[in-house]
Amino acid sequence: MKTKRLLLGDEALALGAINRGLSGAYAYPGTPSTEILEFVQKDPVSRARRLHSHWSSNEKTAMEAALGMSYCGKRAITSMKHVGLNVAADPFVNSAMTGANGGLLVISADDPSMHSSQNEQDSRFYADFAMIPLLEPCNQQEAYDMARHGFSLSERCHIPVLVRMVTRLAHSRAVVECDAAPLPENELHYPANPRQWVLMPAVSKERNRQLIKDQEQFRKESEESPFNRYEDGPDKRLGIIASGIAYNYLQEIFGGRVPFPVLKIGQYPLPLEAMRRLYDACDALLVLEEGQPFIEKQVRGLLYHGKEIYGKLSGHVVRDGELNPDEVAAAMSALCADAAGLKLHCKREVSELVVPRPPALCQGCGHRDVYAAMNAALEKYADAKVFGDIGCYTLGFLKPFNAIDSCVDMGASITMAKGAADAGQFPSLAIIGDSTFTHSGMTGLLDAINEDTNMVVVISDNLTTGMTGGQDSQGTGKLEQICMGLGADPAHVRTIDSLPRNVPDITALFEEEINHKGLSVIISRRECIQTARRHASAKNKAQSPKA
Amino acid sequence: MKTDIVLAGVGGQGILTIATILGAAALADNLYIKQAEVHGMSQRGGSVVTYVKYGDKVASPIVQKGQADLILAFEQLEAARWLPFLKTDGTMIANTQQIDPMPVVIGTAEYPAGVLDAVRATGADLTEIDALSLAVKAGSPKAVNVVLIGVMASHMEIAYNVWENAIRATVPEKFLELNLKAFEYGYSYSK
Repeated sequence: MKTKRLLLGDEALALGAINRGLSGAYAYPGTPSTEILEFVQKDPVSRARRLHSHWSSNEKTAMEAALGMSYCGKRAITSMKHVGLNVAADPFVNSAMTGANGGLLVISADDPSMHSSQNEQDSRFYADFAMIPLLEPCNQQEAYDMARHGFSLSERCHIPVLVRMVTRLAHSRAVVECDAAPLPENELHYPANPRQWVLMPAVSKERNRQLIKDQEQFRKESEESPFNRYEDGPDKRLGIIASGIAYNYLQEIFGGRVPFPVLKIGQYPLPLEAMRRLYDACDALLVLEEGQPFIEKQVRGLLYHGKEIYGKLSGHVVRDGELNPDEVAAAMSALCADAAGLKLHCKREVSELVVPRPPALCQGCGHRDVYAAMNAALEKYADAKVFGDIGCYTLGFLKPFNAIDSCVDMGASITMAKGAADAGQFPSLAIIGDSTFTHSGMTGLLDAINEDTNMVVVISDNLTTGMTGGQDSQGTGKLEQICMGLGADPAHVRTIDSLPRNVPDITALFEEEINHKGLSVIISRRECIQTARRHASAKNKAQSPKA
Repeated sequence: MKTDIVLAGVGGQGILTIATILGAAALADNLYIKQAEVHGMSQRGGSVVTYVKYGDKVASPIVQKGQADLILAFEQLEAARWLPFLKTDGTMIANTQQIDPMPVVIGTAEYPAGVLDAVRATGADLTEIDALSLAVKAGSPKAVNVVLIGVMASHMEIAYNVWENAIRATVPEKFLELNLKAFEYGYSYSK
């Protein structure tokens, strides 16, 4: 029995996992992956079964917890944005060494064109690096189906499986055919080879040899995968390898009837036999992939001397930014302008009247008051530096605040401010949000406390993970205790409400703590107005029953 | 047969709600539909765009430049910004509302004059609508988005009652009547 639902790519993946007996989902909010855990939190089956769906402090703790569930034989997923995989990399790479017991899917959602990220790194390299299988859906239906295939693959091969999403798939909706009833969860059961889970050198060396041997099995799985498909075509001038969403774009520009042979890729390691077949059948190859030239590099190698291979490295497909049908059409025009059925569109230009509309802090946001006070306090210093972090407050970089000098990765505000202070920088400030602080600011603060570094750490606490839509923050109500528990001097852990009328007082606080020769923490607090509004309206709904 | 629609506006105008109603209507009508949105930073008063494509079969979820059959612009500047996506024989419906972008708010830029005239001058088939007044007439300025979806619906083949059901399924019950009125005003609006 099947039903039809209109789902985001993220939601399709989450539902697929729930319907295949998921027991727990672990994640930290990150665009474009946030909706995966949110779906698990709201889904009725998930709630009835009380599947784990509480937000984790960061992607490393999420990955490790999912691994712990897998150890106990139950099915788990962990989801994150692409840079989140950097945070989870230690347990991720080592989970290939432990292997999986209960099926384990690691979902990484890339952000080509960095719509809301610091970079557009391609998660597929991580699967290659860790030597595990990878699934890359091309549409919402595949995202749903790959949950089943992924869990099955993971349990058959006793290995975690990486699932790679991209923004355009994660955040687009399409009709998905789903199972009407979910499978039961696995029973708790321990690994058949428990020794493998203790990664001491004696164990790891042996395991590493086995993992290397297993690559052959993973490749065989790819050759037989329903998500890799050789679609023959009459025009042999070009053989096209198209992975993930790039396959969709290819179909789009030919109205669904591509004249060239196409090898659709949805499962890695790459299916060698199918690729050889394509190479032998065609005069040249074109590689279409979203992200970095992951496939193209492998096909090409360094000392390649065969048929022409076109793609990002040859300059035929745009090297940076997300792929789209226009780019694919442009590549096709350059290579085979007379390809049967190729559809091109004429374009208008943007009027020069159009003023940019960058995002900005909401009117009434508490971060505004912190920046107003901070800018006032720092006015008299020619060389004050403020190291920023990742969240809504990063928008403090833009006018009218121009308040921060750096933003690199989660938690880097505190640690960079410390390094700068060590180099002699004065005043050296860090500004970080409450969620980012518990994500990866605490360890940096510990370093600064242990050396009583002359710097000011500003925690702008809006009691939420704001930029991603207002998810619960893990440290709410505990920030002062955490700072003092780490050993901060209570006399220099100051708290104030972040309100416009308090700006003179906040400014004075900044001045005091900048003058203090040692570590200071200023916690400036006010609930995010977006979540405050939501809570107020939910409260109203609860209090006034429907007529 | 395929129709490509671009919904463009400012973060906070309720564009995603419209996309939800549209999705519900299309699904009820058994249309194959794909819809793409960009979450994250767009909420913070930034430029927001949602692509909606429906038809017999839809591969790519994104609309390309020169490919939109219909552009529904919730704000003047956004109408001009997304104009390059309109087909040469496409239709644009633009709300006459003006929302200052941050550079204008802080005084480093000016909101351009005559934006919609410039759009019309390119030869685009443009329908202007003061959706805010119609929304207020229906009962709330917040219903601007539903007025606009009414105008859009009058250009589409989905039956009126399918839209009504979609709205009923999406909006809170106490606002249902006002939303249905707003939809009706938009639907029956003519140049």
